[in-house]
Amino acid sequence: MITRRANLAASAALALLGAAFLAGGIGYGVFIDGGLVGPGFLPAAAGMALLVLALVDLVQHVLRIEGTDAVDDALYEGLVEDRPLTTDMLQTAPDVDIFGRDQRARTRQLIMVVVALIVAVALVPLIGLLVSLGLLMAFAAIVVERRSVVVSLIVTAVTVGFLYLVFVIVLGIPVPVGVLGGD
Amino acid sequence: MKSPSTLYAGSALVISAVLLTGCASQNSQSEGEFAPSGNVVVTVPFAAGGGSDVSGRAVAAGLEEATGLSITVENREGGAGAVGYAHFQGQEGRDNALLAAELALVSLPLSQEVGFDYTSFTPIMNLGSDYALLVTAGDSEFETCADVVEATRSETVVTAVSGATGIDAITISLVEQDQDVEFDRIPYESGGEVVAALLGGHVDVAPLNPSEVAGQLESGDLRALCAFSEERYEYEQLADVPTAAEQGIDVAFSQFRGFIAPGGISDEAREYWIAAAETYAESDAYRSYIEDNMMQPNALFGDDFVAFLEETNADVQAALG
Amino acid sequence: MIDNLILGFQTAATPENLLWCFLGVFLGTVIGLLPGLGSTTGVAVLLPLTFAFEPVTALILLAGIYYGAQYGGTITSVLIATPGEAASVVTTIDGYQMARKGRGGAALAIAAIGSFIAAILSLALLMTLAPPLAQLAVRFGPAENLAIMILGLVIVITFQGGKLVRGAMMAMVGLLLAAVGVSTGFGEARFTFGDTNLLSGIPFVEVTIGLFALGEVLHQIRVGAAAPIKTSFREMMISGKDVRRSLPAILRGSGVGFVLGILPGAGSTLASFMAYGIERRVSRNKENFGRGAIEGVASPESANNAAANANFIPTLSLGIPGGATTAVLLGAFTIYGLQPGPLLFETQPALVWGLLVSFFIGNVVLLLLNLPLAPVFAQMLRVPYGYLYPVILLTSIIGAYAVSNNTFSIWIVLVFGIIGWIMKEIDLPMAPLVLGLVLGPLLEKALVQTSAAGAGNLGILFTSPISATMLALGAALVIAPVVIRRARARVAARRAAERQASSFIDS
Repeated sequence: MITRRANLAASAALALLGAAFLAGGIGYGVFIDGGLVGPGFLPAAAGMALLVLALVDLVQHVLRIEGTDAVDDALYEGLVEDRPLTTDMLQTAPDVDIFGRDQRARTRQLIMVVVALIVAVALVPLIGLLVSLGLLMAFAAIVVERRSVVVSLIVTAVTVGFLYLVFVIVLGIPVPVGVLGGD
Repeated sequence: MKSPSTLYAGSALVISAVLLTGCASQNSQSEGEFAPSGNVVVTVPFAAGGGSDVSGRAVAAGLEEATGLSITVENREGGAGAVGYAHFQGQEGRDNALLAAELALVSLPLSQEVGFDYTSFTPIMNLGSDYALLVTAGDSEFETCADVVEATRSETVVTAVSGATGIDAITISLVEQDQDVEFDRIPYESGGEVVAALLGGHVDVAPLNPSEVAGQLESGDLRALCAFSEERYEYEQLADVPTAAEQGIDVAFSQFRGFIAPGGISDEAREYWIAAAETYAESDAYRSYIEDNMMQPNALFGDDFVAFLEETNADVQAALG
Repeated sequence: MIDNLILGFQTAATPENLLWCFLGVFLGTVIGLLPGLGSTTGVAVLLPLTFAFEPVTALILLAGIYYGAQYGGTITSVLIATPGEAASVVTTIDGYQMARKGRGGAALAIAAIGSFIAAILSLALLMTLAPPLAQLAVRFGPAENLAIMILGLVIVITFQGGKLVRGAMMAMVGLLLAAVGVSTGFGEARFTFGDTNLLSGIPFVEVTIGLFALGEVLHQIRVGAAAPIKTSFREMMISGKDVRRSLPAILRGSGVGFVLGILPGAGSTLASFMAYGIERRVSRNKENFGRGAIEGVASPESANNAAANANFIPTLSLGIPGGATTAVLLGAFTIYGLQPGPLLFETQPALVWGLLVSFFIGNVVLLLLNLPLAPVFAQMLRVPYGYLYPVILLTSIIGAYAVSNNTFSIWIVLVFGIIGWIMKEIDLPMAPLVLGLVLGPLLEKALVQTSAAGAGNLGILFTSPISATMLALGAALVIAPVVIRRARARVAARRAAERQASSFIDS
């Protein structure tokens, strides 16, 4: 049910995206002097195609119509029992994973990681890239995954050290150090 | 076959470089306190294989030799150079970024809304001038540029231009103004692509820099009809190519090639790059770059380069009318 | 020709050169393993090291770095679903599934073997046929280039497992994202909303890192921590059966890659996508594609390697580099006084043959070094995911930053990571998006040129025999499923036995 609603929302969002690019493309000029293709041609054409395709997809979802499968699927019918799998279908989530965490706990973890990521990136100008990402890594391993503190810190330190060696020392890439790192 | 010293130098280099590139680039300058931070990147605002690409790579190699820094080249093509210049604009204040500049630096801002002009950057060095040849396929019916102009009066002649407002487009515009004719133009992104288009018969003629077609001219796959220069080339391979003026087309136009740093860099950084450029201008690498590419040397630094750009700006403005 | 080859080997295959080649392959692999650092960066960063060497040694070292970095990118595609460059995106589809099934070692081994065979075949063709093929390649004008890119997109849309409409949607999204920034051919800034970071477009490498690496990590957290993959060392090894099964795929992939690689501009990305699409249609084992079919790794890996080598045909015989890495290598040649062009093979035989032989040696060394190492690399997956994914997060974000030394890159990774996760959750295919993003600027350039050549009329697309054929092929791919379905329904209405037979023939 959630997937169905998510699908509808995604198709609607894509239709809007297509419409926006169509409008933008027309604004840039679809054709220029002499009927030549102009700077807005590709965005307008691709935007319109996206709008139409997304609406078709939306209608198929609403009416629960089976859409035309890609060519391979049509060939498979009658040959094999099931359709070729996409990446997801293989990993149908069991309700409880090997650590006994249920769906809700895992969703909470996901949100924690995403929020931590955003916070970490926002902190880069303040505390520097490597420190900030090191903290993110330790947080993910210790707090989110509840791994052993000692091992997590060691893994973090080794990874940060290795990346420092490769990117900063060997490749000479100037990573931001933040206001605390001085200059 | 290999001398032991090569082996030594080689192994020492690989080992030390792998471990120390970063440190080395921070310590090995000789120009005083200042040194650019990290790897230096030379942006080439055109696709690989054109004159701009060649000059960017020559500058990178030459400055690497002059400064001991590690300098890499990055192609950012598109929009007749606008993509690369726009990217470079985003590098404002960085002392480790350079760009292989040519006429687009002046001609782009004059012909469309790009949000920069040559004053947005810090000009460092002008390398020299590059004139264009009008080139056609080896089996083409055209013998002279006058033939081409004559043909446009009765049929469609398709010319390639690399960049809608680059030297090619300006040269063609000048010919059109001078002779009151019109060409059909197909835009390409680099001299290399234009050569392929000529060889494949997708365009009839194209203005190209000598360096871009030297191999094909020698092999006879392409022929030069005329040179858009004031006088004939002194380089042996091109001495036989008549100027456009000799054929009754009064057009001569050259484009400069040089390199610039981003706007808003410190005075120390500007002085550093100018000093490095002056060292480079004295080197064999610079001389062989000019000769290999059949250009006219014209080394100008800093303020002199800015003055030169001002003049060019006025010339291009006149040409674009 | 044989004389030249022998001469090339005599100068190139000394023990000392082989040692440098080993080093080059090793350094290249390490660089390729880091997200965001591909073969172009690898060659460019290590190029200065080679200036102290004699030309042949330098070329061998560079060839080693080049092939090593490409292979390093394949390793991350297979093990942690993080393709280092566009050409190894397709490898992720089946390679990663193989790794999840404990067959990561076999996937890495077949990639090395496939690349090796493709390289040898394409080098042999390059040595014998370069000048005439280069002449053929320039016949591809704007209309033909446009048609081949459209065909490429159609093939990718149709090989997705899901609905046709959804694949097409994502290809359009890719094209639209590619339209952001200063446009090719017009120089006009589009959809940038005044942001200078967006002027140079939405950066491709960062998008890939976000969609694949970060998207996969978020997805894994959501579906629950998978148990570390524990397999015996033997299962990690590639079997003779795997190789036999993959051989036709390798040969087909090499062919597709070689043909596309000759065309300047089309390049190895399109080659790998097309090879996978074709393999998925003709393979005997097609039902396993998308769930860890070894052919799905062998074919694109062979294709991108063959294309990378075929790329040297326009580079050497016309002086037109087909891609960024060949341009960097071209820069290296000019330092040794090599002027690429039609006369190169006659005027500089020693260097040209030295170069070609060094490619050959680079591939041999790559195979020797990586075949035994493949199962070792695959052991990485034994690390519990709770430790592994924080490492992936950290490495991929820093890698993305290193692409352009800009914090903006990190935000791109973050945004596309979340988009990638959503796409996984609701099963929207990523490959068409990536190809759309890569092809967008090239496609627009060809479109503008075709339009200019036809004075506003795109009719040349249908009158040029080559482009008309390719467009017809594309149309057939879209219409085929409908026709096949109808035909099958009719047959089904008759007899079951007949239906069996008909499906068999259709396949």
